[in-house]
Amino acid sequence: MSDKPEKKVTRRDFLKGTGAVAIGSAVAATMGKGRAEAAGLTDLAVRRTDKPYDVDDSKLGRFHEMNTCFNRLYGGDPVFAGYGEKWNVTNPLQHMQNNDEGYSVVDYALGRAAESVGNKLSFAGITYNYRAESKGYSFEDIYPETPLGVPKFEGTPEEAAQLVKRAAKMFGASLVGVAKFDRKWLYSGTIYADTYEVKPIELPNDMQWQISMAVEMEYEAIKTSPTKTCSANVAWAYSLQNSLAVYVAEFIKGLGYKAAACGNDTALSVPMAIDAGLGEFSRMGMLVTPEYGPRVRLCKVITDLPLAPDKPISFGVREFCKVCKKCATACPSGAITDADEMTWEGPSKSNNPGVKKWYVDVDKCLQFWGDNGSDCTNCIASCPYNKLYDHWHHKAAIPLAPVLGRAFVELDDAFGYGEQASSHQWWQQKKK
Amino acid sequence: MGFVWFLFGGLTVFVAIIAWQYKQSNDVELTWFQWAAAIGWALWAVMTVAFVISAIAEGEPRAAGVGALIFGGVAALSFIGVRFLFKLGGSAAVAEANTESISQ
Repeated sequence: MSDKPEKKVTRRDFLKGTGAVAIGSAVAATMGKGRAEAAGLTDLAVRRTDKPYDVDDSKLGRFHEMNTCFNRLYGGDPVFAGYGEKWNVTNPLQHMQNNDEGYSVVDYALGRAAESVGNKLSFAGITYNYRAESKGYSFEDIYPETPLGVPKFEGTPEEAAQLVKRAAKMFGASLVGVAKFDRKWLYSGTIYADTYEVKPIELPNDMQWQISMAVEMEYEAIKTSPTKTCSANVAWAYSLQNSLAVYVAEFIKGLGYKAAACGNDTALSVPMAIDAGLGEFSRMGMLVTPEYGPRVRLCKVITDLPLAPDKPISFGVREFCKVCKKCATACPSGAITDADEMTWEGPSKSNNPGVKKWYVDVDKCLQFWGDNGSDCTNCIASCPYNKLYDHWHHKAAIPLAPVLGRAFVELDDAFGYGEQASSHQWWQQKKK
Repeated sequence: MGFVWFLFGGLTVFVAIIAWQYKQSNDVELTWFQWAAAIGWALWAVMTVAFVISAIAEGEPRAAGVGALIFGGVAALSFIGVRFLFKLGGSAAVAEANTESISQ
């Protein structure tokens, strides 16, 4: 008879083993999460930085909002001659008559509905596109009003920052950060959408803080880019971003402080969001966040409420963008450069020189929107950082991207990430 | 999805216990290098299965298939290497243990 013990797993052994693994995993996860949260970060792969971008003050000036590509389009810039009509009328009509997938009447109805609230909010002073009939602009409607005239809120900047962030999350912000407001990002002026009057933008000097917020767009919808299905989701996020800015600004006014609610208007959203620690700049010109990649819309509130600022973050986007270039390949108009090195100025009148980055030829981008009969977000859809970070393997990949470089891009392509999805299938999805 | 991970975790622990009991009952002694290779391979295998499950869960079947191919392929090839390492060092330890038990 063998004196070797029987090789079988008893219930006791199994429970001991699973218990040990469970406790060990829970402790490790809690310690890791705790370390990240103590640093105000969402992930251990993200670190704080003092220098998120390089600026040449001799070249950088305050940008005039009338030089955005949209204002140039509707202001009659010859570069965009005919493109407004193609974007909003001719090509959409042709798509709908042909019942093209992703450009059918159903998709255009979705887009129209998605824009509706954002358009109506222009009466609250949020300008996000030229078509708005604005009754007052965000930098004019800033004055506080406490409930029933009670004294204004007095608290530490840390307390104020916590209150604002908590309120912003309730109002629908996917991400929120605060920073000192850098006035070089304030537009020098704007053009009124209804009267075409050119007006300077100034804010009182005591408005020294800003709250930047990001709204997540839907992963599945963005995958259908450059169809109208995708564009509708972008428009919906615009509506949400604009209402979010109004909610937070009105909250701050209720505390007794000045607040300017801004969508795309009044100041440059991307560098403000970088300053507030929401993400890094990228080759495509968008903000890339560790939670959603570039799949976010941005808005901000500028205020005189003292706030404890967050620090900018870094997680290797700049290093990875240098070698990735997936957005440049996916761009149908060639607007995104595939140059290795960054520059101090760009090719378009709508670029603002003075920051070292990759500049996008936005003229080519908007011209494609005209040819397409709809907006395009191929850059966002194709970006390797555009992932659903609820899944562990994408979170684990964040620190690997800048290390693996080009190999990471090849794997991303091999796995099929970034490929266009079907609008028809999007409509058939059963969402919980 | 939580239940799937629960099952996966339970299965992983079950396999780990079987392997441990085999080691104990056969008096297998491993060098530090063999321990490192075995644990490294096991983690890679677990990661491969977990990747496939996650990719299917997020609705990316192509990522799941290619992941199974690439990561699973590495696991299969490296298994040969790990097994060779074990044969080099492990068989000597098992033979020694068997010799001792026979002579007692």
